[in-house]
This record gives sequence, structure tokens and C-alpha cells, in this order.
Amino acid sequence: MSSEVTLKINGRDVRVEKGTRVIEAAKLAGAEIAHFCYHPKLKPDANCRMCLVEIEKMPKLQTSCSTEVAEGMVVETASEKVLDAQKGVMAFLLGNHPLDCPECDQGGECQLQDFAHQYGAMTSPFGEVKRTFEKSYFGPLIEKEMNRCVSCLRCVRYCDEVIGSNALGSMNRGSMHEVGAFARQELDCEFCGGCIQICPVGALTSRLAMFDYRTWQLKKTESICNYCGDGCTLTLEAAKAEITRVSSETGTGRNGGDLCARGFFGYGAVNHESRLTRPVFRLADGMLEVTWQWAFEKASEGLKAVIEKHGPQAVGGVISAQCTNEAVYLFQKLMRETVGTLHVDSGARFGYINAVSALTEVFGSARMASYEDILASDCLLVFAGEMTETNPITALKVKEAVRKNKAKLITVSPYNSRRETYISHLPHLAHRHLQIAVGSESSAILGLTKALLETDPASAIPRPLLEKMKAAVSGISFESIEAASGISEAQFREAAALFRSAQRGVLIVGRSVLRGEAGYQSMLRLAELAMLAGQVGRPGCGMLALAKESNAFGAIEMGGVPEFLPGLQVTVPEARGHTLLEMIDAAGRGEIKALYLVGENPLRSIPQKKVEAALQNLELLICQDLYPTETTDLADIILPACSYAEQSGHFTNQEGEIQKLRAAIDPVGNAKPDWEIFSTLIHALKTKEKRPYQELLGHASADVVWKEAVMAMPQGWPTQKGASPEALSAYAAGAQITWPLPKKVEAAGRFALQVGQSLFHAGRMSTYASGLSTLMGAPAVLIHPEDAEHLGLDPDELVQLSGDSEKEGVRLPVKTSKKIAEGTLFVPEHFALTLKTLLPFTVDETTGVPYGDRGWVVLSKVSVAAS
Amino acid sequence: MRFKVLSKATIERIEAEFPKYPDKRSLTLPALRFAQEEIGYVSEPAMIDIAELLDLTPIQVYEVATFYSQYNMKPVGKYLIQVCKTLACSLVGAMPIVEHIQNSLGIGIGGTTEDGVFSLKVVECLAACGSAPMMQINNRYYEHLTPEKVDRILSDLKQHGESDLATGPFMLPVLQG
Amino acid sequence: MPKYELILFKNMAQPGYKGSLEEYRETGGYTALEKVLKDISPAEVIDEVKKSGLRGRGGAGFPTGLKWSFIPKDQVGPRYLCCNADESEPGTYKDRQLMERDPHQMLEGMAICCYAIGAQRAYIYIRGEFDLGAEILERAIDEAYKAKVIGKDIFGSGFNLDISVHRGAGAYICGEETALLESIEGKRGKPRIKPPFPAIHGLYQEPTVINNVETLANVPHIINRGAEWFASIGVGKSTGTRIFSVSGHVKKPGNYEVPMGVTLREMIYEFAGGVRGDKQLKAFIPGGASAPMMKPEHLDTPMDFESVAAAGSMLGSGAITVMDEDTCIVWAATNLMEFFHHESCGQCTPCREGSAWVLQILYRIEQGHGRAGDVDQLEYLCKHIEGKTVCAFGEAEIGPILSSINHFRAEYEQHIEEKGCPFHPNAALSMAH
Repeated sequence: MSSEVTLKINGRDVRVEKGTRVIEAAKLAGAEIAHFCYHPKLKPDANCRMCLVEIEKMPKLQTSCSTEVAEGMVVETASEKVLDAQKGVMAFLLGNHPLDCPECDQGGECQLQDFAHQYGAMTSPFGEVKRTFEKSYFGPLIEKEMNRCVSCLRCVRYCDEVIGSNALGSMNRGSMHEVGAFARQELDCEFCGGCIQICPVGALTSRLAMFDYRTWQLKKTESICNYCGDGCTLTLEAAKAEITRVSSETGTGRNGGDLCARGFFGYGAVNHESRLTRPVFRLADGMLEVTWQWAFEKASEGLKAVIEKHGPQAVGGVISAQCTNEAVYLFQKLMRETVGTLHVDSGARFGYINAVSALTEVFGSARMASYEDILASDCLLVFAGEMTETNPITALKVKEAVRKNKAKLITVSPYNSRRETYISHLPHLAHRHLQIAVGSESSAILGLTKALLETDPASAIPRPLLEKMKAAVSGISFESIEAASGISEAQFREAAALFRSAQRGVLIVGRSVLRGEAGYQSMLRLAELAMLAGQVGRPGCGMLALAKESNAFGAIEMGGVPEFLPGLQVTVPEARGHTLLEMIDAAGRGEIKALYLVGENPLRSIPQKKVEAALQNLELLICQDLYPTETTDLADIILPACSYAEQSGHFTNQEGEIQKLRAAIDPVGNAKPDWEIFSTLIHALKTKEKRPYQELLGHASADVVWKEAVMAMPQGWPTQKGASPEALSAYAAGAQITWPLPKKVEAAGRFALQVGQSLFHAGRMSTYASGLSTLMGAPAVLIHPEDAEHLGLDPDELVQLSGDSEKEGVRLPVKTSKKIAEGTLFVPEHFALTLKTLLPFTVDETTGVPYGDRGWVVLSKVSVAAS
Repeated sequence: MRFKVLSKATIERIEAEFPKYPDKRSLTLPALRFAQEEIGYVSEPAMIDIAELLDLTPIQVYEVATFYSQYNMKPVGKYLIQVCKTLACSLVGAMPIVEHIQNSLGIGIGGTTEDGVFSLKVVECLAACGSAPMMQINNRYYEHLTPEKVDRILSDLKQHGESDLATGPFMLPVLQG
Repeated sequence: MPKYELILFKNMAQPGYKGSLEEYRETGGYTALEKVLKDISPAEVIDEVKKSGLRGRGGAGFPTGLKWSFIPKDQVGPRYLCCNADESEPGTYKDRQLMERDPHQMLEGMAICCYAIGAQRAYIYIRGEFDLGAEILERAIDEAYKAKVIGKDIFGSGFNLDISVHRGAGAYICGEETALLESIEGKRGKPRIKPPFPAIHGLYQEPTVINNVETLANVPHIINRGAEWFASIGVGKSTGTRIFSVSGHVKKPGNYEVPMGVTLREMIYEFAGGVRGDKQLKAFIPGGASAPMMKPEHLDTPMDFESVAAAGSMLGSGAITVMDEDTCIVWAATNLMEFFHHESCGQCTPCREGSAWVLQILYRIEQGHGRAGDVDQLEYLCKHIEGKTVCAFGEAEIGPILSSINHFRAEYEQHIEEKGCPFHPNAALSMAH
């Protein structure tokens, strides 16, 4: 049977896929049908009745959005009957509409405006008193003007069907119908901005930029979001020198046009008044703003001096994993080739290196699964209960697979599966949720592995590997695993069997593994588990590691880490330089004398006293950043860099997709793109005589840098996707599998504290975005409602967290959250907090990744008098 | 406490209905009714409790509460008088009955007596068109109304909490002989 | 003795009959269920109902057996019967009597239907205001479980059935079958777009039959006395009896069960005793508020689906509301439009916006602020609601308006020209919503 049908639209034959809606077929045939409630992302609702068409043999007009095409169907989209009906619907919609286009932010991109225009300037026959609703707000960021609403419910349906937040709804009925939040309260949702984006009229608009622009004045630039590794395409919309709005066109990019709060409301960080706009040079008695000429001279002189005096290995460099591929490539070139040091590292050291190292070690590739694989899968094993917060759009893919494709979802996470009121929460959606004790991910991996080994291991797994795996688990009992993880043998067996029986299973790993103790080993064990379940090496299967930073994958692949040269070519052991922490230690020992930090702030990211001492010990500290930080305060030279919105280049997202960034606005102040600074420095270091810095720039554009970087990649790059058999057999032969013995930790009246990411922030940059700081401007400690009640805590009451009850700790207000398991606490990491000093700090034996996100704390009430 | 306002008895009453439906969401209407029976109207914390019990978001409960006319979104009197005004009732004198009630209770449509005993609403068809004019007070119908009959019903309710003028199992015309 | 043989009202017409299970069984109750469970295959039951010519009594008149036959035969998974006891069409109050006086008659009909369509779970969706009816039904269901005529392994046949009462909460639209399903699912009562039809994707997206109380109450009689007997009552394609609810300006309002095809004149003047105070008949509605109004010249129309349709109205729910010569037609239309405006679910544009717009114009005309062109405007609006809405509510709400304009245009014009209502006594409008 053919999957296509032929129908006639306005006399023209059209051939389309079965299941296509008439409205879509008509569009293909060049006949755009007016509509409001139809949206390709949503199930047809046919409520606006605008898209009525005439279909032969059907007595009534039909809504083209809800009618599927059929073989031989004859459709008229513009007959007299159709136009008359559509005119009627327009008259109904315009009757009570305030017609306030001049002061409506939707003006210029409003479907009502466009279709009213299309149907001719109408003198509305409406001669009655207009119905009016009072203006109200969906919280601080969204304005609702119900008088402009056409009740198409796109906002409500998007919130339900796509986001799964279920935060919006209809209220009242008939002509008094309104959309809104519970009991007319302010919204308290994911703030994905989707309701604003999907509103066809001016009923829902952003309050962040009210009346700041007319839509046609905005310069639109398609680029990639900076706030996590999902790699969403967004359109940066600029009025003059400032980003004024962000959108994402339906269907575009890896995100398909969906955004999260950070993407939609987080652009304010770009033009924030705190941005560094001029190079700064430290004098004995203070800081001096200088020209770029001066800055380049001082930086290159400083580096040359250290190299001359102490040798090139006395220089180290660390670059943020939010810098472009071009920047990372040139930076490692600057360090390795020009300076001649081995010590170059990136922000990917904070966890993502565990993923890329382990995946390449086992499979020979880190490109092991894509979003398409998630959407096509029928079972997802997710070691990332926090995914909605860390990687919201990838979480949407999981939700879509579960809702639309009926995929089974297994989550493993310390969160519980209770519904967080208006935040979609993967454990709540899960068919099987393994609610593990905080920090017991490796025990959970062990439990699942043991269950698979003892029942039905996949046949494709290399025999020697299987034998080693069996040997490694023997002697470890399910009882001890249960004691450590809280998960029973039966639960492990059920979950393992479900994943094993999937036709197409995808394993997703998030920060609780990658940034949890022994993350590298856990990642290896998960790769083995995926093979054991038969979920690698077949189409639609695989493993995806979630990246916190927008270019974590790219930073590693471009050679921004000591273990890899560009193209993930493994460095020989004797040529392997220091990792970030090793550099700090080396600086402390006086071996490293100059550090070049690009977008990195170790004083905050590594909560260790030794860091400050090490930095003080340096002869030269160069910081290149967007904003002043604790570390730039110590810098000898501060170079102002461009943000993602001001520069071109490429990001590689967590799937390994390489995507293009485009500059949307001119650099803020005198900031420069990272690549330009590196390119200039490379030549400045090579030249002896002073020259105008403009003449030192070695690359004409980011594109030129990119061409050079691509040339430096191994052959075939980046097409290698999925496991390579050679790598696998090499791994099978050499693997050494050991499991840490599961240990039960007694709570003893303490809470297990987890520090992590909030949905509304990414690192610290987002805290400069006014939209996001409105949503969350200060930290609070999240606690389960019943724990709060048990302790007699009121919302926002101040509590103290400390290592033990005797010591002074950190004071924070409490908020209750149903997703937080009883006996656990969660604190967002984005605000300057000494909290991490309360938590144990360890370093990965293999990858040098610092771990310090969780531990046990005592929570005590702070009496009013004491506070 | 998982629930803010609903009593254990009401929660159990709702839970007792779970086996009748494959989806807990189906309990939204019964749960709202039980909540209203307990606290006289559908309050915001009650809706939050229902959402919690049925694994919904509060707006999903609120959407339903504001759609159906029987849910009181605000407190009402002990006896809620609802006089039908749709055509068959209006043809035979529904509005004079409404006026009579307004005058004798001293309240307007939508109002509640100061002692909180009676509230008055005018509503659409209650399917008692042959025995018009009629009214519903709480869960019982009163039909073939005359001003005198209304007076007796209201005084019965105020004094005894019930009235034997409430309609029993319905039959019209009444059997002869 | 009644003029025509009573079928549905037969039991309750017996003095002292209270509708208990015991009484119902004494009149032969539940023998039809026992018979089908023991001797008749589901397909044969459906055939029998098809042959009887039974059509839906809720309003649309769809052939019942055909509706049952749409349920997929071989599909695994649950399927449902929903009994529509929402009885909300203004003028209609028959199901109330059937439920409160002889509940087992419809329960037996439901059980037979469930057997025929393979459903093991049925809901009675009763309007929330029918508290007494719901209590009576719940009691009857308890009795039936105890007597094992529903529940597990009924009559030792291996057939299981659970029936529950699900109460509405005040929404006319929930009488629309897909809105009813939404309401049972715990949502707002918004009619669904069709297709898909409930027979394929109904309650919880499973195959579902929705039948009116009176429709189901007929089923045991068809099984007991045969399809041919049933088909012999009534006229043409309108077989069996029909309960007509008569209201308004008549001497003896009430529910009258008569064979289909009896004339409106007989209903109004014989059964209901004629117009109150022997006034002249001005207009009447033959089938519930959404049926277009008719005039005295239509009195000899037989009350069957086809004849009433041919006369420009519809048999609908069988509710006849009579208006005497002193009734203001604009007032009556406005009263009904208030009802429809109040009950519009608001999901689709023409109904949501149109009902409010039409009502505003009607208010103006009735209150003496009519303008030239208002009547044309009303017609324009009605015609742009008609056929453009998600459900049949659109046609329902314009029924009284367009028909009253058709039959009484001069009265509208008079209101406008005289800037007021010529029938002052009736002019009080509630405007309560």
C-alpha cells in the first residue's frame, strides 16, 4: 500500500503523505488557509473555525486543520461559500477585539491583523458594547491581555501537550471564557515562554521588553543558545545595539523551535551593565583601563618573560566550555604551539570529560545517540532525574517519546516521583522510577548490571568483556546494593528486563553521574550496561551524555584538554599536561608561574582554600571574561571578551552536532571575540618588535579559523558515529572492571544535600539576565513539604546548614518542593555561596574531575532573635 | 500534612470511588462535589487538595470547577435556593416567584441573607418543565410553586431543616385513583 | 384506561409500584437479560435491535442497533456504555420519571446493551441536579448487585458487568455525547471534534456507545416481545412509542407515552387538555428548546422524526412547550437565547462570540432599543453560526431565533418601530447570569 495519497486542491493535483491534514496539503499546494488554533506542534483542536474549507461530498464545510487527506478528495479553499464562512468567523473574532494594534507588541506579526487585512478592510458589523476583561499578568514576565485573545487555546495546549507543565487552563465558559493560571494567581511554571511564542495574537506578550520595539524594526539573527549543551537554535532579535527579544521559529534547529526559560528570557545577560568593556591592567596601586594595544603588549611581554625565566611548562591555560570551537582551537594552539606548554584544559573538566573519555575509550566515539534516537526509542533509561533543570529541551524529547510514541521511561535519581506542581518532572512521568539514595548512582548501575548479567545478557557483547563483568559482580549481594541504594533486587530486575526487552533503547546520563564521585568509572560501567542490554550498535539505540556547558563536547574535541589533541586524538602519556586542578597545585608548588584563564573562575568553582594561595603565587594571571569575578579581582591583566551573541563560530552540542553561531550585535563596548584575541596573541608572541595590534591578527575571520581547525582534524571527522568494532574489542581486551563496594551511609539526623542546577539559571552568567533573576534572584534550600512540616518550618523561613550542629554554617531561606525526596535537600549553585565548603571534595583518579556537589549536613532553625 | 483542608473522611470518600474508573482524573467532578458538601463551596485550598489526591495540577481542577454551574466558587447560605427561569417556567410565572422570594428574604438575586441561612440564584432549566414554576434548594426539587407554598417551604427549612413539600420520585401527570 | 398501550410507563402506572427490584422482577423484569445471556449471541441482539427500528430518544434519532454495530468486534481492550441521563434540553423531563419510578427497566436495558457490545463497564451520566434520581439509581444498582443481575458472572453466563452512576455538575452541553465523555474523564465538558467517533475512540479513547435513558429502557421490551412487535408500533421509520413531555401554557402538562406519529394537535389538545384559560395557541416548540418553533398551522403534523422534520422543525427530545396568544415571541426567543448563551461551552468561535452577540441584539430589541437592520443582522449571525461549530449546539441555539423570525418577523419589526415590547406583562427578563 502506498503511503501517499493524491487529492485535488483548488483544481490542482497534490500528492502528499497519508495522514497529512488538509491545511498542510493546501500549504504545499500554495494555498495558505487562514487559521488561529492550528499549529503543527499541537493536536488539532478545530476550535477557531477559521480554516473551514469545502470538500466534495461533504454537506458541511470542514475544518481543514482536523481533516486528514484522502485519496481522490476534492477541496476548495477559496470558494464563495468558504470565503463567506471565514468572513463570518473574522467578524465574530473582531467583534469584541479592542483593535488596539498601535499599542500592541504583537503588531506586525499578528495572525489576526494579517488575516483581517487579507479579508479586506472590514467595517465590523458589531454594534454592541464590547466585552472587556481586566488586564492581568501571568507573573512578572508575561502579560495577559484577554481582550485580544481569540481563545484558540494554543497556549494551554502547548503547555499541556509539549511542555507537560499543565500550568495554564481555561476558566469559566461561553463568552466569558478566559485562559489563565489557577485561581487567577500568577503563574508559577517553567517559564519556557512557549505560550508567548505560540500565541497567534497579542494576548500573551513578554513583559521584559514591553513597548520597546515594533517587531519589524528588529534585526533577527539565527544562532545557538549558550546556556546548556542541548544546542538550541534561537533567533536573537536586536534593536540597535541590544538584544531585545529571543525567539525560535517552529521546527528549526535541534530544539524544533522549543525553548526553555534560559533561552527565552535569559538574553539580558548580554547587555548587562556589569559587562567588562575595556582591557584592564593592574598597577601597584590599583587598576587601570587601557587600550587593546597596551593590553596585547603587556600580555605578550608577560608571557614571554615567564617563558624566558621558567620555561614554557611554567605557563598554563584554561578555557571555558562556553567558548566557541574556534576559540578553543586557537587557544590550545596558542598554548601548545606558540607558548609550547602541555598544560591546557577547559571547563569540560568539571564533568563532561568523564563522558567523552569513557565513551571514546569503550566505543571509539562519543557520538553515540541523537535526539532522533530518543524520539524513535521505545524505552529510555535515564540517569538524570534533574534533566528538566539541566537540559530542558532534551527532556522535552524524552517527554515526546513517552507521550506520543508510548516509550517506556525508567528514571534513576534521588528525586522522588511526586509531581512538582507546575514543573514537569521526569521521575513523575516514569513507568519505573528507581528512587536511589543521594550519591548512590554507582550502586544503582551495579544493581542493574547484576540483574542483566544474571538473566539475559545480550549476545553481541564481546565474550571476554562479559566474563570480566560477571567476575566483577560475583560476591556482591543484592542485599548490600539495596542497603546502599534503597532499591530492591526485584526493582532492579524489573527495570533491567524492561530496558533489555526494548526494540530501541537509549541510555541518557546526566550530571548526577558525570559530576558524582568516580564519574568516569560510572560512565564506563554504564557503557557496559548499555551493551549488556543490547542497546548499542543498532540503529535507534545508544547513549547520550548530557552537557552542562554549551560547548563542552566541542571544547574537548578541539583539543582543549590535556588528554586529547584536536579531533579526540589521544595524547601520548608523556606529553599529557596538567588538568585544571593539577595546574592549581603546580602553581601552589611554584611550578606554574603564569595562568591564562578564559571565562573560568576557579575561586568559585573550586571551593578550596589552596586555590587563592596558588593564584597569589603566580607571576602573571591573565583573565579573559565577560564580567568581573572573584578571580578577575586577582588578575594582572583583564581582557574583555564578547559573549555568544556578539561573535561568530561553532558550538558542538552534546549529540556531537556542530552548529553555527552568528553575531547578532556589535561587540559590547570594546570587547573582542575570543578567537580574535588569541589570533593576535599568537602573532604578538612570535614577533619581537612592537607593531599595531591590528597587524598582528592572523585570521581574517572566525570562518578562517574554522577552516584551519577542520584541517587539523583526523580524516573522516566528524562523520564517525556509533561504536567502532575495533575500539570495542580493544576495550574488551584491556578492560579492568572493579566495583566500589556498596556502602550504606547512616543519616543520623542529617540531611543529604545536593547542590545543583536550577531550571532558571546556568552557571553564573544567567544571574545577570534580569528576566531570570526575576524568576530566581537568590538561593533557597528546597525541602520536602512533609520534612518542612515535621520541623515546623514556614515557607521562606531562614535555616542554617552546617557540617555539624556545633559549627556556624550557611543560612538560607527554605522552600518546599514535592520532587525533593524526604530526608534530602537541594540548593541551586548559581549564587555566590560558601555552601560548597561544607561538602566533601574529591578528585577523580583518572580524569581529575573535581567532585563536591553533595554531602551530609545538619539543618537547624535560626531563631528570629539570632538572625 | 499532605492535605490542607479536606477532612480524612472526604479524602476517603473520594478514594473509595477510585476502583470505578481507570483514571483518577475521572474523580474530579465527584471530588469537587464532596469538597463542596464538606465546606459549603469549592475553596482554593480544597482544589489544591483535590489536585494532590488525583495527581493533577491545581489549574486542571480549577478549569473544571469554573466550567460547571453547580460548584460554588464562593461561600453561600445554608440553603441555596435556585429558581429556574427557562422558558417553560417563565411562561407560567417563574419571575413572580423570584420576586416573592426576594421580597420575603430581603435579598437580591445572587444575595445571601444576613443570617447566612438563604442564598438566592436564578438558574437555567432543571428539567421539571411540566411542574413549573419550580426551584431547587440544596439537593431537592420543589415544584408547582405558589407564593404561599414558597413561604411554607422556606419556613419549614429554617425551622426544621427539611420540608415535606420536596418532590419525591417524579410522576406527571399524577396517577388517577 | 389509557388510549394507547403503555410500554415504558406500564409498571409505574400500576398503583403502588415503587420500582424496587422485587416489583420489577414480578412484572417479568430481567428475564430479557437472562434470555440474551443464555440463548442469544451479541450479534443477534444487535440484529434484533436493528430490526426493531429503535432510534435514539435523546434528540438526534440515530438508529440504535446501527450505533451498537459500529463497536469494533475483534479489538481487544475495554469498551464502554455510557447512559446519557443528562436530560438538559429545556422542556424535557421524561428521563427523570423513567429513572426515579422504574430504574431497573433502564438498568436491564443497559446490561443487554453491554452484553451486545462487549462492554464490562457502564456509567450512567446523570445531571448533577438530579440528586434524588441519582440516589434512586444508586440504590437500584446496589439491589441489582445483590441479586446478581449485574456484577460478576451474571446468570452463570460468565458475563461480568459493573455499572456506576456518574453525576454531572451543571452543564447543558454535557448532554452532547462527546462532552459527556470528557466530563466522565474529569474534564471540562467540551464536545470533541468528530471524527473520530465514540464507537472507535470514545471514553478513555476506547470504543464506546452512548445511549439515552429512554432508548435503553426500550431494549428489554424489544427482546421480550420481539423486533417485529416493536416495529409495528409507530409509523414508518419512527417505530415504538415515545414519551412526550408537555409544558408551558397547557392545562395538563405531563409526560405522555404514545406511539410515534400521533399528531401535535392530539398531544396538545387531548393529552395536555388544551391551552390554559382556553386562550388561542400562538406557537409551540415540538422537540425541546433547540427545535425550531411551529405555529398553529402545523398542529396536524404527526409526531415522528420525518414528519416534524418535513414541517421545518425536529422531533428532538420530544418536549413540547406551548405558548399562548399573550406570549411575546421576541421575549421567548430572548429567554431561550439566555439559556444557550449561558450554556455555550465557549470553545469554538461562532458559538462563543455569536451567542453573546445575538443575545445583546435581542435584549436591545425587547427593551425598546432595536435598530433598523437588527433583524437582518440576527439572521446574518445565525447563518454564520449554523454549520460552522464543533458540535450541534450551534444549530440548537439558532433554532428558536431563526424560526421565530421566520414565523413572526412582523412582531420583531413592531418592537423596533414602537421602541418597546407590545406585551408588557411578560417583558421581565431575568438577565441573571
